[in-house]
Amino acid sequence: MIQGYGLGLRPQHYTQLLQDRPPLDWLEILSENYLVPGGKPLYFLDRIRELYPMVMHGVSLSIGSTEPVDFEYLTQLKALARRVRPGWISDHLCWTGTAGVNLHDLMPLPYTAEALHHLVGRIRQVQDFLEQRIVIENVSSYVTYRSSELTEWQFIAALTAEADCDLLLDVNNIYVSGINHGFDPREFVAGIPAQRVRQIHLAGHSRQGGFLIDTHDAAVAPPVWELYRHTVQRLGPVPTMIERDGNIPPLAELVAELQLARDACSDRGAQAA
Amino acid sequence: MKLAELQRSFQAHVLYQDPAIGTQIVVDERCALSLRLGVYTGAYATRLVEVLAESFPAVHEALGARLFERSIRSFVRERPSRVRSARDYGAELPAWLATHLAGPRAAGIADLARFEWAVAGAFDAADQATLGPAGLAAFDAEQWARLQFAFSPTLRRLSVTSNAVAWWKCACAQQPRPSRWRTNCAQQWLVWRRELAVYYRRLSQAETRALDAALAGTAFGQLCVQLHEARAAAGLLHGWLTEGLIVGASIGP
Repeated sequence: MIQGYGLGLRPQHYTQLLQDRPPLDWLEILSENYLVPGGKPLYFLDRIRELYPMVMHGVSLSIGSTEPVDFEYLTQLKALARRVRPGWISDHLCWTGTAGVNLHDLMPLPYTAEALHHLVGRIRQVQDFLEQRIVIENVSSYVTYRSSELTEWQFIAALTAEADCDLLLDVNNIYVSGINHGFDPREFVAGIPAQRVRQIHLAGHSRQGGFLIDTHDAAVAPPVWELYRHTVQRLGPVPTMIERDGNIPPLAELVAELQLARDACSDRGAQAA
Repeated sequence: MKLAELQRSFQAHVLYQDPAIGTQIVVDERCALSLRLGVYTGAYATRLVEVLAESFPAVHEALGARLFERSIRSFVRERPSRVRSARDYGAELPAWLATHLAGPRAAGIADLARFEWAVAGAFDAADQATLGPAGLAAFDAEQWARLQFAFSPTLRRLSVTSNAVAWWKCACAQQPRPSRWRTNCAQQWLVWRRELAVYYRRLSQAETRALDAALAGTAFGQLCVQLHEARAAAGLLHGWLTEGLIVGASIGP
């Protein structure tokens, strides 16, 4: 059972994790990094898995795409899950391409009844294939569609209920999208179904003019920590981790930063479940 | 607009800057529409440039950051990604560079790209237990002529016409690079991984012929005929076994 505080597993930290075994409760792997035939990635994955529980986080599910579900990908994902025995498998509430093209980005969806219906059917297909409930993450977005009929949090609440999936709540993404679209992040937190939140992501962002970009290349920003404290006040303890994908610092620095999440929960008088 | 059409329209904007998706986006005073859409358009090409710079560090250095980025952006425009993992996107780059770079170093840099791609391929190719010299002890002497060999899935064979590998070696060792690109030096190379380390070495003409034949399924007896003597073939075979190139042997027809 996954509990407490974790980090994203990055190749830069493989050796140090094995040598120092820092006090982390679990690790999140980027599934695609290990959908390879062999070599170093799988070698280190197996050894580190012996030391830490893991969850799997993907970027290729393209759950919102109007292309057919990619069962070849799901087959590989299922095989990796047999190897890793993850606490859960997550991916993003987005689409990544259409007509055979991959944009390698988390493209935004309109919050419409049509999109909801489409997603519910696809999530069910995926869950049936993987034989487990999946965990879907809210993404940062930079555009709002005219056709959207619901807020993002209303859409997520309806989606998790109808598809019977869980939620990976990315607190940084809530903050980034709140600034970019002018909504109150606390309203978002108030609107999501607490019982569906399986995991929390924290990450850094960068500013581009009046805009925030979800870059994962810096420390978690103070307003995101504040929103995180507010979130755990509402949700109670939830397994929490820091995502870092650029300017990756020494492992000790991330472990120290993660202590801020522990402190935030301690302030609340509770430990993460 | 239906979801499928919306996605096609947005993708057309990212790939070709088709403006049609703009009519579907809320415009507000907070930020211009072009900036909002530009986040996605910019991220697509930038991400692929970054991924290819990681996959081809020596090509990046040889071209210089500006020409590398300009070249890759042209490549990205011409060839939208159709691979699931961005790390696989570089497969067609060496051939593309060979036909799109100009000047005397074009062939050398295309060779360099092919070599880097071979190293990257060996890095995470399938693991398979190797057959050491002792592994052939199970076969009787009279069976040896019909022995066929299975080679490591990590093995990559390359023909280059330039001094690209010497250039790559210098770059890896942070030594001065060769002063010029030479393009009249046909060379055969072998890249493979053993355990976690990737190895490479140059092949002689005789070994090239023998190895390519063995890879194609030619039996040991035929290799001896090809090399005109059994001792030479046995020597090559011993080397392949010792280096971890062979993962299996079986009796052929």
